[in-house]
Amino acid sequence: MPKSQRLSILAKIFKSPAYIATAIAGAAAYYLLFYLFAKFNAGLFLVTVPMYLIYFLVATGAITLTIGVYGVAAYRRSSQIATCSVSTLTPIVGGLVVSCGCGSALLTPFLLTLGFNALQAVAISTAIARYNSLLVTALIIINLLLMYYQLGSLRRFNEGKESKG
Amino acid sequence: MEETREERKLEREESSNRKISYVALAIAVVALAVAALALVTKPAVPTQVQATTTVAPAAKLVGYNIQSSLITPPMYLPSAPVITQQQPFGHRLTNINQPFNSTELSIINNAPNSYFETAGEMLLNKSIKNVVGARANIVPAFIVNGKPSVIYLGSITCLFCSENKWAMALALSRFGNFSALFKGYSSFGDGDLPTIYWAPANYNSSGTDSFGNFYHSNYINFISIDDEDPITQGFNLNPIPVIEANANATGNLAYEDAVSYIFNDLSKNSSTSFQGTPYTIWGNYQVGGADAIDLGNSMPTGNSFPLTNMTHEQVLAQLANPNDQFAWTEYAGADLYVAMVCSSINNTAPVCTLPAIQQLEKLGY
Repeated sequence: MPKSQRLSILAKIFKSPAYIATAIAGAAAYYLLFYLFAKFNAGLFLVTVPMYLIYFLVATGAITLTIGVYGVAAYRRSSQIATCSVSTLTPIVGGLVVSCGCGSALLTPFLLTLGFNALQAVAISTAIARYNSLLVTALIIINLLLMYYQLGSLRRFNEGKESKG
Repeated sequence: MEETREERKLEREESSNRKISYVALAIAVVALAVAALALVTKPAVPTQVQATTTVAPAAKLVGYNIQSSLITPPMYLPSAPVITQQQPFGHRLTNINQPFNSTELSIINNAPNSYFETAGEMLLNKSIKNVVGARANIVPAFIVNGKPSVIYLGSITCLFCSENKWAMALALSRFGNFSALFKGYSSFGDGDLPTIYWAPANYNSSGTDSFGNFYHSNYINFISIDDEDPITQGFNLNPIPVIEANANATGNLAYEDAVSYIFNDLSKNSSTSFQGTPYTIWGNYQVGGADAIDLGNSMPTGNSFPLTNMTHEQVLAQLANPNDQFAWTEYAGADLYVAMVCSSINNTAPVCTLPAIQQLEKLGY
């Protein structure tokens, strides 16, 4: 099977209005999740990473979620739940990452609660803040890899079904 | 036969995927729990002025009462010269480290008390639309030469430190005056906001700190520590041991002890511990973070800040004749700091007689 089969599966999914609606709802939910976490830096939605990275993160997360929902619904592939849950994690982790800035980060008091001392907690938050754009990019790459894995899994399942038939 | 092998392969794959699924689900649940806990342990910043003052377990803290000179920094750093080249908003070093001229300095030093009163009234009647509100903790004052101190620990790269310094300078001007202030910016990755440097800063080096300023007051001391990293990058804070080592290297008792007070004494308690910049102490009050989020005439959303597109001259012009939310927010933020200092010096400075300041003191500042 040619690798472009992944793309044809993706195209098939997004031909359906139901899955387009799923993707839009997923994107809205993920953006809200991200927003809620990010705004805890200063009580405002105020970030220092480029906004396009945030939109990419939300979009890739929503597409991953939609493929997962399709896998579960159309093929009863319970393994697709894994990728759905991981895709849900990425905007949460992204929100935590961008909440780390020069002000008191969302993460810092939590790290103090966990038993880190102030020096360690601030060092961790500062390191995250310093590399926040790179970390958000890494989360986008995770989503893209998940998408590739999901589509490959669905392709193999298709192949199996076809050879059975 | 081949079909059965293929089916088994598919089953095995499905089984291993199911295991991955459960592990991922478990990770997701743990992450959600961690996130929820983090949200609970970090309440949002108050959006309106309110009595948020809490009393730290002062009994466990020993205050400082020392005799020491303060640091007067150099007026010029050969390794970080003034750059006069005009550069685009968002990527500016234009006029960095340039001293304020006498007119500019006068806008800070001689701001009329009526501006502070008006802003205070606006804050109290909730007509300030930007976020103003500090979570202050009562702590033992850091006394040097018989006077309580204002201590500032921030980073030149930091967005909130930068926007907050205008309010700080206005507040400090009520108790003394600056003989020099310098033009600076937050880092390119943190808004490139026009701000004040208390002293010329090493804007292009890492691992250094700027100690001292040109402030004089009969009521208070001003102890300023600005952590330095290249502002052409993003926010960064040098490791705390580096800041401590740099403070110790000054050989100045006030600065050595101020850093020790923050990192060793106050950081033993979670409510007063150092958790990020800016970190300030105003007499008997410790404030974590900025006391106002003032990035322009409206509350910012996303990563676009109106202040990024303003020059120092424009900021100073607005402070000289406040007629918009940006300027009134800076004065309102200053009012909270003024109230904290007034409360710490038994209201002995003239500004402490302003009705709005007295109201803010009653609210717990």
